[in-house]
Amino acid sequence: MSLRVKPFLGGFLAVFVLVLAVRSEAFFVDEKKTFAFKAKVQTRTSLRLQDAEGWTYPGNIYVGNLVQWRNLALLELDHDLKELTKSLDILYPLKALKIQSKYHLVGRFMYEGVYDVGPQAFQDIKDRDKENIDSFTHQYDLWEFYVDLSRGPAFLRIGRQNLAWGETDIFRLLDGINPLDNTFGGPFEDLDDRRIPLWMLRGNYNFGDVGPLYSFTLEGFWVPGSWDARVAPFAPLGSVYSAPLPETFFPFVRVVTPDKSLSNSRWGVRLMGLVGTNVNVSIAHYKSFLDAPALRSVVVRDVPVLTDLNDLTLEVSYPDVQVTGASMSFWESRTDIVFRGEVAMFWDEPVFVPEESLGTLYGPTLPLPPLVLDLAAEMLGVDVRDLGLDGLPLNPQSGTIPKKNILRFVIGLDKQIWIRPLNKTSTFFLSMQYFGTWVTDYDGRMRQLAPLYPTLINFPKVMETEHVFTALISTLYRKGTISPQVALAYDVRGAWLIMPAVNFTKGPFRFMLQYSAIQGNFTGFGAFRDRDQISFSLTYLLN
Amino acid sequence: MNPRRCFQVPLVTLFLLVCACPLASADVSPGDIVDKTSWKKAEKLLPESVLNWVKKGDMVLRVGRLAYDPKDYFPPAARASLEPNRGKYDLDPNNLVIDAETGKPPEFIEGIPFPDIEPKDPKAAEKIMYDRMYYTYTQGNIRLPYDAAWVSRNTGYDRDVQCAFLQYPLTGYGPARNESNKPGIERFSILQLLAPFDIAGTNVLLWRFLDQRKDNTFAYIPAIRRVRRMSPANRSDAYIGSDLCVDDAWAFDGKVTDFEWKVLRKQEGLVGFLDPAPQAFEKNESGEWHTTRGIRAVAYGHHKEGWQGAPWVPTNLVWVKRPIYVLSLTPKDPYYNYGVQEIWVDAEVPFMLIYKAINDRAGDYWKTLWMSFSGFMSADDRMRLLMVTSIVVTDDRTDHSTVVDLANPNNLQAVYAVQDRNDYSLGGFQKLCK
Repeated sequence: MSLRVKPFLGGFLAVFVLVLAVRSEAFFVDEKKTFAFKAKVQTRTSLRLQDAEGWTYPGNIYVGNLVQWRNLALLELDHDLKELTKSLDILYPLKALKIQSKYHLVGRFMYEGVYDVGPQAFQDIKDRDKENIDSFTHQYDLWEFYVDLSRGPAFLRIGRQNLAWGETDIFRLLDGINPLDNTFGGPFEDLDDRRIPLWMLRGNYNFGDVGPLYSFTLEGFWVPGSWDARVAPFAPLGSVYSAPLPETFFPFVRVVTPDKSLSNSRWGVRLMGLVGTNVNVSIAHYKSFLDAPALRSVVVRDVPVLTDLNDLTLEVSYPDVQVTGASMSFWESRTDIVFRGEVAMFWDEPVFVPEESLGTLYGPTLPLPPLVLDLAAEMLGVDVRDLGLDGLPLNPQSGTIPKKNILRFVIGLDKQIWIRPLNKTSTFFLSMQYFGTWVTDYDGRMRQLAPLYPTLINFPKVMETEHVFTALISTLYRKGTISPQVALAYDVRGAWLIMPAVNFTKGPFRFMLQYSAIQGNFTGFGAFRDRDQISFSLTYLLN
Repeated sequence: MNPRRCFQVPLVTLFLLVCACPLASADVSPGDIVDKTSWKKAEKLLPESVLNWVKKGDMVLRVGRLAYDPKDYFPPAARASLEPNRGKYDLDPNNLVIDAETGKPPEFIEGIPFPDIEPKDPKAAEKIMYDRMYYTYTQGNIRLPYDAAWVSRNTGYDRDVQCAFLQYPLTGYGPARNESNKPGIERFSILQLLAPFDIAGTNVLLWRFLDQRKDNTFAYIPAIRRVRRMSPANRSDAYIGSDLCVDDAWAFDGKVTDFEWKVLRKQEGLVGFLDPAPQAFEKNESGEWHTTRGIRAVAYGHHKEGWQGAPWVPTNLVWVKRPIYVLSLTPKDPYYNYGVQEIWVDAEVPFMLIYKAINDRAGDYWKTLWMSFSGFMSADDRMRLLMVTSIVVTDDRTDHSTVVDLANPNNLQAVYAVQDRNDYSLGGFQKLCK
């Protein structure tokens, strides 16, 4: 056990014991029930059910290998300040202005053990990239901390928080404000488990009934870039859920995240309300950073001929994107279905066009005879012919980040349905969605960002329109103690995702068993088709 | 031997035998204990399912007498409306409340709409249920924290959830008259799930309309961090897997117009009360009235060492004979998960829905819900009302119950609660969401 693990485990246990000690108390700490304390500890283990294939690195991960041992402790405090406001002088302004206030705090302790106790291949990855791996495998965070202030129709929430807009599940359209942690779980983990809170100022104002609109509300948020310009962390190459990229690229990758400056602020505005008391509508516009980074080749110094690979990097960056969209939902009485819809235009979204993004490799070259190229490959460790070159780039130029306006939309329906032969006491919840994507100014050279094995520069095509269907069905048995569910996704270009799971409840314990599998073509989520796994988690709720 | 004595001896013997026979009398008196040996006493005073529990030894009833009359425990606004509302309202063919004179929906209903119930009125049952709804509305905004426990016979207490129910009526309660109500809302309510951790933060916002429109239901789901529109049509679905369905809240929380109602009979019945005396009620500095920490707690079977009956049964109630209307209700929705149900409601205090015997869709008996009550009185006797102190739903097929505990020193129930109407708007609802 590494030295770094011990203090963590010690701290973890101390917290665990402390919280156990208070478990016998009411979960409200004070008599007036203004101060609530909750906690849970969880361990989750996943075993791979498929051998690594293609460009997945490391390639020596096999069926039965441990790929996740994630341990989590969450401590949550909620404190309504209404009683303190009456007695504490420092809070007098709140009392005088009749402002209701409370705060919410979440401490998160996370340890991912697969790089310490998992297959040797992952331990080797950690040895090679210790700082990077440690940064996301040992985390002690003030995960959420915000203060709520409200008075009448006005509400303000200030602090580290999550904010989700829109009407979608599983995949995100208008729900792109907070970044997702891509260092674990990949497509097999719940969105909320991966959402990263941001330091944000958020508020809304309820205008009430205005014309045909009821509960008409204006909402806005601002994440000052000088405070928080966090983006979705780039899963280090070789980590369990990293994208399948060739090892050849590793030495060249340089991740550039937005710097902390006001120009990198996220912000957004939304109007929402009810039309005719049945139809929820909203329109929104926001600026944020997408989870999927942009890639381009960068020549770090002006040279007439690219002879030194140290002059070339692959820059992973996160340009900001503005999104305009609308959503609606309503319940249709005859069919007893809740219909949802959402449409969003992603303006100037970075896309990958090899000829532009990796422009360095597509310019003029100094042709070399095969013998020389063989020698160069030996010396450089990279055969430029694998990159589509017949020589060395002349007057090499950096690539660019092409951008497109991409329209995404979803139509969803939710229905609770009785299937009495299967369950006499609880309905089945069925949720289905169709996601569509249309690149309005389509370029036939657009590609996905992971090359097709065994080539280095042959990337799957991106179509002008893409279509994905999802479905989720769940129910409850035995007085809510057993909850099975199945989630499905289908990309019409030939990729399937299936995730059956069952949750058991026994007293303060929660057990979860989940099988996750992706089959089919190397497209979209199909890029993770060799990551099938079975997961088991045990959670203890302290209250 | 005297020949007359020859007849007298067997007659006297027979007389003595009859008097000694415990099955002879089907009535109870204060001081009686009704248990598995003496269940016959309560034969006509309990629904059949509850009587069966007594016969089995699951329940023991201690018959007593209240030190107060429940019909003196109407909220002030309800009491004040009894005279002015006489004959003021009626029901239209859709069973919506109308002004008796104009035949149109009234601008505002203050108090209880139907103070006089004539059992032979074909719409008597519907009127009783409206009275019951409006009784709660006359208490203004309410805030009811409670625990709901899953209890099985073999293991006793399994687990529990902590919740809070908030309600904001826009009818029935006088001060609501001055609030704008363009959408035609009958009441707003929020159900908050507070614990355990995995469901904490789930909040369900409901808008109920005065007319036949179905509820608007919005649920904040912490796992997806957003508010989701829900179907209002699945109110017979089990509530988070418990023995109650959504409509079973407070014995009946559905829309009157969604059911066919009938008064079956008037009779007497036994009702469980927390204590012969009313419990204390206090006013806080915000002007809210609430129960106190000195409230007598309900002692359930699994709390009581040596208890031989069902673990979910309250063991320390006093049972009082009350006049009862027995109603039947049949769902109009062909997909509703219940069939015909039988509700016992106090004939003098419509707030008190005492028993609900539930059949499945085939008409076979399935489970029974019953509630206990208490009067609450302020020290100066200026505030009096009745409140529910426990709800028990027993599924006789699975031998399992869900117990909703309301008379708990740790959960202060509040009426005339200070609330912000904005909390029930889409924007204000966000305040409750993580």
